[in-house]
Amino acid sequence: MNASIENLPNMTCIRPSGRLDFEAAASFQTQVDQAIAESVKRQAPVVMDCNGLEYVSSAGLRVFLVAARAAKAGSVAFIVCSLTPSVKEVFDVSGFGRIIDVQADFATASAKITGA
Amino acid sequence: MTHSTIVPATAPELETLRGALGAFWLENHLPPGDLMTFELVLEEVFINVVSYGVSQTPGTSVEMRLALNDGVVSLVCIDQGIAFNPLEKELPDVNAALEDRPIGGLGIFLVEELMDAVTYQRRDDKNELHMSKRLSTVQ
Repeated sequence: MNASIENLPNMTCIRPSGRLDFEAAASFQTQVDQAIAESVKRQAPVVMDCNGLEYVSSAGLRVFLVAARAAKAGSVAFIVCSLTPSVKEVFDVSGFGRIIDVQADFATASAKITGA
Repeated sequence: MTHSTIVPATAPELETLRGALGAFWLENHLPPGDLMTFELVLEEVFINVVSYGVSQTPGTSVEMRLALNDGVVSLVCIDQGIAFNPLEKELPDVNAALEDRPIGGLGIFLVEELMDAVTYQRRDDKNELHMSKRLSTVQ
């Protein structure tokens, strides 16, 4: 898998793509940890745009959970958006949709940030 | 007809099993949407086995059996580790708040939720985890 991190003026955008399985999870976690730490420093909300994410396993879900907690602890918003159907199913089944702010698409996620 | 694939019980071998699963899917012209579900289940179960189950008995192998019967795919994972029933593990509280949510324990929970049936058997000194799911009709 690949992930790009973009530090925009009003938000940090993390875009993972491909397969987030047990093998990919560790290095993605490191990238996300750094991005969240940076966002907390500049108090910018974090949007995880999962438009290109095709697959996520429990190892991948863990990265989302750790990221959401770090963002909350640092008082920045953490929004996940654009889940593909199979990833959304895993989110729904695991109950992550109830503990993490999930928005349908990037436009809705950014509107939520600017409106807040 | 049952397909059997046997690999050493090490994490990188997941790739081999995933390849065999994909080939089985293509061969039987099964819906791609369901493949993702089975890939997930395979990852959770295999990684669970190589991380905990066989860690005390190195040099062993894991067998994956696949079968298709009347639109139901069954996946059986057989390992030579010490007796270990993953279904007896306490399931995570999926209603817990963000702060209280445990980091681990989600894998087997996902397997149980995504499959129609999951059963465990200890047979011939091996652990057998049987999983099956009726394929969706919409592609």
